[in-house]
Amino acid sequence: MPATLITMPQLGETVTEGTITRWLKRVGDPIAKYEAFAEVATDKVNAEIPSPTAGVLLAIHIAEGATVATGTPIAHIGDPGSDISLTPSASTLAPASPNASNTVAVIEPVAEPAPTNLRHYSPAVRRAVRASGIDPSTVRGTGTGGRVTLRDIATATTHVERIPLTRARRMIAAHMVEAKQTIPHAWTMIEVDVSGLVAKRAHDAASFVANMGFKPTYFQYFAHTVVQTLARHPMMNARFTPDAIEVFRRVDLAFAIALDGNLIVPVIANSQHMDFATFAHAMHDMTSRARSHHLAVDELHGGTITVNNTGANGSILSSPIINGGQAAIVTMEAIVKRPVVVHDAIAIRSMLNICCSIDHRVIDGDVVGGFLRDLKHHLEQLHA
Amino acid sequence: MNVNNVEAVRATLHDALTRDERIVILGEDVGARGNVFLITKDFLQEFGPQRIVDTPLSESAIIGVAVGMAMDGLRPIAEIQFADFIFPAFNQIVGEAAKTRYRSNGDYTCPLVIRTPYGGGVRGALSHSISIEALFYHVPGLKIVAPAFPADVRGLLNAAIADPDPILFLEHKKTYRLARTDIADEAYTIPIGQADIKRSGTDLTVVSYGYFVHLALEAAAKLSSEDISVEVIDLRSIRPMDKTTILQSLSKTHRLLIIHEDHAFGGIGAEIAAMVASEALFELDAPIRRLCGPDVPAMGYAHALEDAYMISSEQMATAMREMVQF
Amino acid sequence: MKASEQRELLRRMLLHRQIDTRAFQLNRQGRIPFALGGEGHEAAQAGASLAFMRGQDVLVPYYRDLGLALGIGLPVIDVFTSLFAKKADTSGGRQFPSHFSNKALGLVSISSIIAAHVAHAVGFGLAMQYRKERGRAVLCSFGDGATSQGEWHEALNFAAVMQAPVVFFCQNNGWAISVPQSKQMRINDIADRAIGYGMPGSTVDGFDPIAVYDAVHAALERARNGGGPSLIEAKCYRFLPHTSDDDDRTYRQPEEVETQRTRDPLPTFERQLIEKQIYSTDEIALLKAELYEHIDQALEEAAALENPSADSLTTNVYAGTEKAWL
Repeated sequence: MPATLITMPQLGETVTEGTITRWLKRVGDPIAKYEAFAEVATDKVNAEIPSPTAGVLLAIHIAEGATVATGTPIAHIGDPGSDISLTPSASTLAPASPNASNTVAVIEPVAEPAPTNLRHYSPAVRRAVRASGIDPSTVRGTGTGGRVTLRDIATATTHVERIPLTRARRMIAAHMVEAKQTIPHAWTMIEVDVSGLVAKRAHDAASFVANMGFKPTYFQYFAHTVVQTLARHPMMNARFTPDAIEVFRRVDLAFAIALDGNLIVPVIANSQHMDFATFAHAMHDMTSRARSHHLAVDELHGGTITVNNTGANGSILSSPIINGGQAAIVTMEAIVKRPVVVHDAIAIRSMLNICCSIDHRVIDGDVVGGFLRDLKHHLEQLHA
Repeated sequence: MNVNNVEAVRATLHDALTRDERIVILGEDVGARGNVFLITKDFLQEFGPQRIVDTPLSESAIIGVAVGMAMDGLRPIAEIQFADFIFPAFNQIVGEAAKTRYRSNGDYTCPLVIRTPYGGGVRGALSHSISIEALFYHVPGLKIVAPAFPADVRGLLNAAIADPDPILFLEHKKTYRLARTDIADEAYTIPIGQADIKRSGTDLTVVSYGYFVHLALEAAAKLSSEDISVEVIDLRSIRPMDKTTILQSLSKTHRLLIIHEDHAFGGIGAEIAAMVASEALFELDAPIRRLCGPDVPAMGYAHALEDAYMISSEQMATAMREMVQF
Repeated sequence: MKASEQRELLRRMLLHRQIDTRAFQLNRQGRIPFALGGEGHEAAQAGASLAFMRGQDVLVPYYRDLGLALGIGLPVIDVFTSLFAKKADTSGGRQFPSHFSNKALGLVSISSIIAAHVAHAVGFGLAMQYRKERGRAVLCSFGDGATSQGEWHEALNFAAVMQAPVVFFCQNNGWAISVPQSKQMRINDIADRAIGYGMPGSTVDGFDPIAVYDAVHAALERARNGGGPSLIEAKCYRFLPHTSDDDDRTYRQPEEVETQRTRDPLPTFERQLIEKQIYSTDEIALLKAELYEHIDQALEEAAALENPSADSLTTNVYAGTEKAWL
């Protein structure tokens, strides 16, 4: 019986290649079904790859650090003695994408483990070390086997830190530029009195911790209310295509998380059916798994509208860029106590600004106005 | 004018014959046949058999006679039909032409241009494919140029014809009809011994010449999509060689890859590597690497053998990538 | 032949012989490292040089042509600046002795590579032909051993095909260092080779200066008037070892040399002139003394001259100051 051929998975819609950052198993190690056997980095995510089958890691075809096109064979898992030849088959070896030719698609033997501490510095590094007085052993090497390159020394000694673009950062940049250049953004903002929400959260906290194990966040309330409000404003949950406006029947809510200098956007699928507790749990769970790099690949797919907690650091106004394939992004700004006029008297209230960027090809001012009006209404209805 | 390399050589020779009566072309089949690559096509009719001399099949005599002509004030342009055939004339080039000025202490000079097509990738088999530059660049008194682009061919051929010393002018057969470009009509010159940066970059310096410059540029273009920035230097002249351009580039990239079709051992790359090692050691952030023709006597006739000899742009890209990642 | 010409022939032969004698003496004294004599060649060279037209013809000699060089006007002191390798030597002290060069005299610089210069002579001839310089010709000299070289054959064929105005003058002394003519070729007369190239060939007694003059004169005249090249073989003998570094007793019997010495052209020609009453014994004795005085004066003058500076080692490699690396 042939062994199971493992190919580089496509970790995200626009992903064409992945880098093996670490082999978690060595050839000969037993592997349970769903047990992670490798770590892969793509422009979107660092992910552990779970095994599709139980067996033994029979062969590794791609060395650590190598980047290969999606669909490239990376390993064989199966019973000892199984066939691990790389005979091409239509299903496993078809080119992953037309532009995969830029990547190394060659099957190479596993490289010798690189020396962890390369004591021999190049002449150029030695000169730079003498000139700068830096201890090269304190510099993180980015060359082969962790070799300290001249550029590493330069980076460590310069007044301007030069951060090489990671694949993820490059993709973020590309997506941002594309969204900003192709989508005619319109922007609007509304002011909401969330004094009731503040009281409600304080009131709910204890029982939430007891039942769910965490304190609810304002953002969870906010995001859930956005989902609720979308029920009467489906045009906000849509996308523009050259032929038609496509309105999504479900709300897959994307929410942005800043992580290690990267921006990742997990998606709570089918959120329109969730009560607040379920929704809050999903968001809490995804956020913590994102921080420990344990998000599953399909949790980063899709998204029909995005919310963003731009107020987390005190911002009271922002102008967000819409995610490609969506028509709107809604931000929650900081909740601040402000004197406001209530019933012709000055009162101290907890105020929240909500900003919203829309694709004006899909959404008109009237539509977003109605949506924000109802969102404001729903938020102001919340109370302890 | 819009020309390929064959036409660039022809037009430049034609201009020179028209301009300077001292110029005489001699070689095998340069007359009625107009050279086997048609470089001297119709010259015989226009300039006559005294200036376009079909010689006996005698490479040694072609060069020997040309040396005598040059010593006596003419400006001969001798042709060796294929570089592979030059060895009967080795003594005339190395022992005589290159030493004429020196041994007479400047009394006699030898302003001679020896044109010869070289290089493989054209199904030329063992004796119509070789590179000869390393066998000659050891020789003081001789100059060697190997341009690979029409504009360089014209500028360097004009410079060679004007030069008061013997010059081996190497024309890579594979570049003869490789590309057409617009070049100036006037008889401009490019200084012998001056390299040209054909593509600038910051991560790696590639030094090459001849046909492989074209392939190195392809590879470098490919790598730019991987954010690898490769500087490609076309030496153009093999002797004298342009140290300044190489060292300046290296002070920017700190990595050096030398690519040539000729064998590595004792080749042009060896001299460059030695120069860099002695003059720019502390610029190096990676070992100097040479990507050269294999250490076999010649390339075979079979497609597979020729392909196995020649270096592809993919192989060049791989080497470049590895150098940058080191 | 006019008496004055015959007197001149003897003067040239004596000068040649005496300088050779002094050169070997200087070598044996340890004053110069090397000498190369032409004893036995004096008549052939005096005769051929008398046919040379100064200011018109070009001489492309070989290394045993002291008499020819002197005969076309090389000053005696130049011989000694060459032997002592002085700065004033036309090669600046670079060339081996007996590799004279003097452009103003039409005396062409050569290397020591046997027969490499023969094609140069054809080049000089073709340059004259190309410039339509009627009345000029090239005299190219070499020994019997040179005719075994491929370059020699290529050059003669080339000259014949092109009808170049060149007289190929072979001084057949029977020995190529240690190898006798019988081991170099299966023919007795080198002039027989001429028919293979389609040019006139003749053999003359190289011990008879007048016969050599007549033959060379006729051939040069033919060449000067567009009649093409010829091959003349002057049979002579090498009385001395090949050079001051050679010991001819290792390969030939002293008896053979002694037998040949009985035919030595110098006393023979002296006797003839006395018999013809062109010279008296006393006049010849006086001439010899005058020549020695002139030679010894030049010798000491040259010995006192400046040596070349070490700096001059690197000059005149190229016209400019190019180095291998620019």
